[in-house]
Amino acid sequence: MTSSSLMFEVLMYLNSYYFGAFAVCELLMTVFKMINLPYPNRNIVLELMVIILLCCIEYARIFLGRKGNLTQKVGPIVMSLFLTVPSFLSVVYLLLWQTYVLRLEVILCYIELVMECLESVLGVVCIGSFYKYNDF
Amino acid sequence: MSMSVLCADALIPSRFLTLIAHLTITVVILSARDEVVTASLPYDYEEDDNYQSRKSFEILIGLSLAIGLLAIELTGFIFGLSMFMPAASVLSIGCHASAAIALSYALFDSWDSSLYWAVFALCSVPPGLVEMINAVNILVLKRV
Repeated sequence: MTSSSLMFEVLMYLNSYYFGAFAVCELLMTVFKMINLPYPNRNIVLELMVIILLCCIEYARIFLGRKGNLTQKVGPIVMSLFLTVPSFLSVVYLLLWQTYVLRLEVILCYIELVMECLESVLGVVCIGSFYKYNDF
Repeated sequence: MSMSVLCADALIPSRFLTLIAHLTITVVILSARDEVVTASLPYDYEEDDNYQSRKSFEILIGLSLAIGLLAIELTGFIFGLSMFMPAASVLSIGCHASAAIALSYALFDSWDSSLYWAVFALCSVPPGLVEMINAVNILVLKRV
């Protein structure tokens, strides 16, 4: 009996590409802000660190979520759900608490947040269906 | 490499990204509506609040329609109605990529608002229409 969620896989697959574009846009916009706006030194390091950490977390989150869904294992999906928390917070940081927030960034961050919310809901549904159909 | 594999490998992500790009630039313009209104005032303009609010409303309607069509297409795409149709995907990628480029030019070069309708007619309507015909074909007429 297969109980993997197709919707979860579709969203994770699309999110992996979306996040690539998102990260490139974020980095380029940070460079743009660095060149054009006065920046305190500490902030720029902090923001670059947040973006780089976000890339690592997001890579692991999507990898674990997809593997867990396709192999019908609960463990990786739970890990992926845990990793959603720091990832969500970093995107919220880019959305609200950055030194300068561009209009484009706001929209890109909102799209990313919506995708993460949908994925966490579907991840929980996925775990439920694994417990229902497979005896762990 | 078979057609469906090629479609899944290249067309699906690029279609999603061009759809998102079009959505993003549309929302950016929507939130910067005042600049577009200022840009599309005529040369012999005299202070007239009525004119400005009418222009602003016109742009609001155009962009909301574009967002609505995008939402329909995104839904059809994510739920798989047209995900594995190469022809529809190529049409959609072409239209939305050119729309995103045209709209960013429109914002940077402050085009007149009537040109937005041209972009809407050329780049938003055809893929949206194809998606709707597709959905009717599959969901109502049960033809694939």
